[in-house]
Amino acid sequence: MPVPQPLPPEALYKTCDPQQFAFASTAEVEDGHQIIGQDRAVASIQFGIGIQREGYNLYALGSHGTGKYTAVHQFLAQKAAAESPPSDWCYVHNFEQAHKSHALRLPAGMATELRDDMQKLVEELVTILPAAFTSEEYQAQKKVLEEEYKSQQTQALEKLRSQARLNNIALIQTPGGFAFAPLKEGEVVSPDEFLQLSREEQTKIEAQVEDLQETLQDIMRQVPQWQRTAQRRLKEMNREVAGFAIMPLLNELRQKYAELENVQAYFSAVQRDIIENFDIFLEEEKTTMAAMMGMAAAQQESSLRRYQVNVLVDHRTTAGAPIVFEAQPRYQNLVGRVEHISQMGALMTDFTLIKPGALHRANGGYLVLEARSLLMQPYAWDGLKHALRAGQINIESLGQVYSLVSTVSLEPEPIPLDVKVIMLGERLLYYLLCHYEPDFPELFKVAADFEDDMERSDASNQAYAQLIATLVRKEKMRHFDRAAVARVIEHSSRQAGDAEKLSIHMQSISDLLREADYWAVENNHEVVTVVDVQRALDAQIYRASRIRDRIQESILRDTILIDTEGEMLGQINGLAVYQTGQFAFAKPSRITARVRMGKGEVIDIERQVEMGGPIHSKGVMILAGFLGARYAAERPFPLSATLVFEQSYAGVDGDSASSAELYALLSVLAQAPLKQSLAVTGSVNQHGQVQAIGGVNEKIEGFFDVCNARGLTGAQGVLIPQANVKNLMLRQEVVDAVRDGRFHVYPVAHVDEGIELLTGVAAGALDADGNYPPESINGRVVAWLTQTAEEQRKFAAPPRESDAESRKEESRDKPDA
Amino acid sequence: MLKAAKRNLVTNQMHKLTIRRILVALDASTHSLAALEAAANMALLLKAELVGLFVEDINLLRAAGLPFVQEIRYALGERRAIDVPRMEAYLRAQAAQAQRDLSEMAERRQLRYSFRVARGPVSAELLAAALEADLLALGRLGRSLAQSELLGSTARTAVAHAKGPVLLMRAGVDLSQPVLVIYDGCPAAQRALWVGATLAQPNGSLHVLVWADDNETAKQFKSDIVMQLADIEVAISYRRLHDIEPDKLVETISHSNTGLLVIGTTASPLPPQTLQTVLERLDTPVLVVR
Repeated sequence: MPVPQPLPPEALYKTCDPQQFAFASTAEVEDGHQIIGQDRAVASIQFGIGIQREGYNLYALGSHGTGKYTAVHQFLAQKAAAESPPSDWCYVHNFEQAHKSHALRLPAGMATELRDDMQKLVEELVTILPAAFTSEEYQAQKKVLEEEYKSQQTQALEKLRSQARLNNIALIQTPGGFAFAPLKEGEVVSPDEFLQLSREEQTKIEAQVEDLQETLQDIMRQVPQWQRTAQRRLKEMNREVAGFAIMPLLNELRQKYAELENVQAYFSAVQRDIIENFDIFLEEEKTTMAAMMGMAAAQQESSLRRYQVNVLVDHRTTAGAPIVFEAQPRYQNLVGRVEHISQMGALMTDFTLIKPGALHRANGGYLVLEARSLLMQPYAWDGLKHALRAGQINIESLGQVYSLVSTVSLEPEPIPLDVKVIMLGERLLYYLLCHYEPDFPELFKVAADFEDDMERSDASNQAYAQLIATLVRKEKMRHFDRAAVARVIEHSSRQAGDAEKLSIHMQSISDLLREADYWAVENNHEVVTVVDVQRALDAQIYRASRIRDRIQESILRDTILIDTEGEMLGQINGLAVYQTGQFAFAKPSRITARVRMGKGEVIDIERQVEMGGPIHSKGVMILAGFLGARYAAERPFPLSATLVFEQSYAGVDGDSASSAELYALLSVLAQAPLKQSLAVTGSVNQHGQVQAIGGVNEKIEGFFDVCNARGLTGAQGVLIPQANVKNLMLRQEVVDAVRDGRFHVYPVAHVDEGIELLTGVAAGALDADGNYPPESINGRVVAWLTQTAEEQRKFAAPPRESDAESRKEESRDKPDA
Repeated sequence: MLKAAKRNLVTNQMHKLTIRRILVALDASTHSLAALEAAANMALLLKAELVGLFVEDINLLRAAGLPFVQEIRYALGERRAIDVPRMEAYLRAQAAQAQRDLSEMAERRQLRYSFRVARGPVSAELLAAALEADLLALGRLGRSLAQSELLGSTARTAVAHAKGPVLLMRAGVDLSQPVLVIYDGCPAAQRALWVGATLAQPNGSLHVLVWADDNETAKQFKSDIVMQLADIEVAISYRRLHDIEPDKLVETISHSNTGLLVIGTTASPLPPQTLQTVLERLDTPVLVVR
């Protein structure tokens, strides 16, 4: 198997040639889309916004900062502008059931007019109605009624009185009513005098009094009847007067809103109510205690509140369909709420205290929400879901729903809901919702899946340049010259971790542009140059790299033991990637392997102490599988091997070290020392093929930095999987070192290639007899295994489990990764 | 007769009234309370003494003593037996209430006052007591429930038979409104003018309705009035009364924004029928001066 050649410098970094751009700076580039490379998501958005069916709400999924909001908003703005504004909505008093406030739908802009008209009506009635009821005509009519009632009584009484007087009997008034008593000389007869009368006279008088008493009883029984009649007639008259007084005003209103049936019905209810309760407009006449305390006015005001119109949604100034972005999608912010006011210490409410939610404001248009914010708010998703399912907005406070509070509450009439909801969020949330919320896929049928990167080509370079120009103009930054644009594109490729891709993570692009602009200002550059972009990138790294630098310092001071020269048996430099916030870096890690007589197992110490993750364990088992299949298919494997990441105190995961671990084991088994000037990354499969890993650029740079600090010897380099070559976007410093032959990057496809690079000894292929050449690595391994098996057979007892393997004391003074 | 009265006025001293004791008829009704308040205010102005009188109606007690007489309850039509002890208790309670009202009203103004209870026919007792007082104040109406009239029977009797001036009050009238005097030149009218002007002092303005046969007399009356009221600080406004037809007069007065009406009746050249109508048809408080 030929030994892989180091990669040429061109393979390590795919430059972006500034000459391909026809412009000198982005000032010459016209604005383009702010969204590039998102064809799939854009098509989904267009479809999701366009289709007018129930449940076709949209979920835009993608990493944070991929420009989901910008994309969604751009298409929404286009679509909404072509649509007409939806209806206004207001709540009015329900005169039949006060707690079930009526909702009124009005053409856009009419709600505030209705509110003002009703306000004016009440103001006018406050003067018109009292005037009607204090008019001389009314007072005269009222007096006639009262007189009629009084005279009915007095006439009957007077008639009886005179009838009694004929018999010399007086009608006298007693504490609780009336009584008849016989008279003598104009005064009531005293009991003594009465007794002196003859028996016949007494009987006669008694009979007469009895008669009169009965007649009076009849009259008295009629009094309440008369009273009721009089009251009824007064009430009727009042109604007539009130009705007559308000008629012209209401007719005027009716004409204005002639085409709106619901408003006509409301006016009728208002008319009936005013006629029934005209006296609340006359309050000022009252001189009660309340009036003295200045409460009468407040009371009248609160009675008149019922004629107010609570404008919930006002589209007077809205052009097109509304687009509402609710940044705080709390339950109440979505479905609206009913507020309370304190009155004499009690919490009261009415329809004027109904407040709209985002669903009200977006009704007839579009509501944009962030999935994470929505799901973080208790009950907010439930509220949204129920509104969407029911197709109406029902304002219920959470306290009401869960019976937590029992103040006076309202049940406002639900408002029909016609809204398209666009949720923006991470992919994970989308998949979790799909999995755990059966209603979610029904309500959000369209997913717009945003890409993180796009193909790198000449066309996309041009598009990228246009994007930069657009962002520069939008954010009022200095323009970028073509070299600066090219550098941004190169960085974008590094960001994507792929020389053939460009990152379209809008947020980091914008951040880089802003920071480069800042440095251009600092450097007094009229136009942002490549120097400024590089400065911005270096500054970003410098700000984030404290931990990386401390770790490297530990290596250079030999606190963390890493050899970069010489050869060692069963010891190899692996590479591990660390992520601190947004910043990723790698450091070399010493991996060692030891073997002893055993029953054929590979012990992963990381796993034994539960510091290794499942993927790491899997990698170790795979390499054990490879070893077993290659060397112990037809003979015993009389060894126990131990593998460890030295000086690792925080656990490892991932399988990118499995090839390194395998090399370490082979080195022990073949007794072939490994070159410490090389570091290794790559996972391995059971056939010994080296497979792609992540973070290849960081890993190479991580080892380079250590070697560079100690001084490059020209022998140093990194073995990477062949499949990762396309991902290479290395730092300029590394590329330069490679160009000068001071550092090397080897693409490796199979462990046999790798072991030869590391040991300088060929791996060795099977000959026709099925044997490996004895001097090859494989041959030495087989020989060693055979010899060990022989020795093992000499022992009668099975090999003793040894605990003499010294355990390394954990030291606490090492920096955490 | 008119001319005689006029000469009389010009040559004689002004006819004044001396009011030292004011008798208030109390029956615990709202109108009598109004009368009490008016009387108390008057007593304060005139530095007079207040005498409250509650009459236990003998007719009620007698009727209660008749076994066959029952009470028909108002608006219910029920019958209820009445007896003397209960009636007496009821009257005592009313008297106690009346006394409380009086003492409260008088003490607030720091007036001298006395209270007494009499038993007998109401009008007779009242008239008898009025003989010892300089002014009788009472409500236009008593505690009648069938109130169709503006003038009750007791008030009517008092106006007809009392020897001295009578003040008829009703509830709900603002006495701080200007005082109105009908002036026709007779001595009673001169007394009425003086009382009226005195009572008008707190308000500061006095309306006089002058009634005279001719312009010259009217002019004369006016200058007489000015002279008579020279030492009373009050703004006087005049109005000539042309028509003494009762309905017209009632209308004129009821439209004149008047608190208290003062009229002199004895030997008034105005027809008795006119005065009677004014008393019965007007709903304002009236002070009848003799």
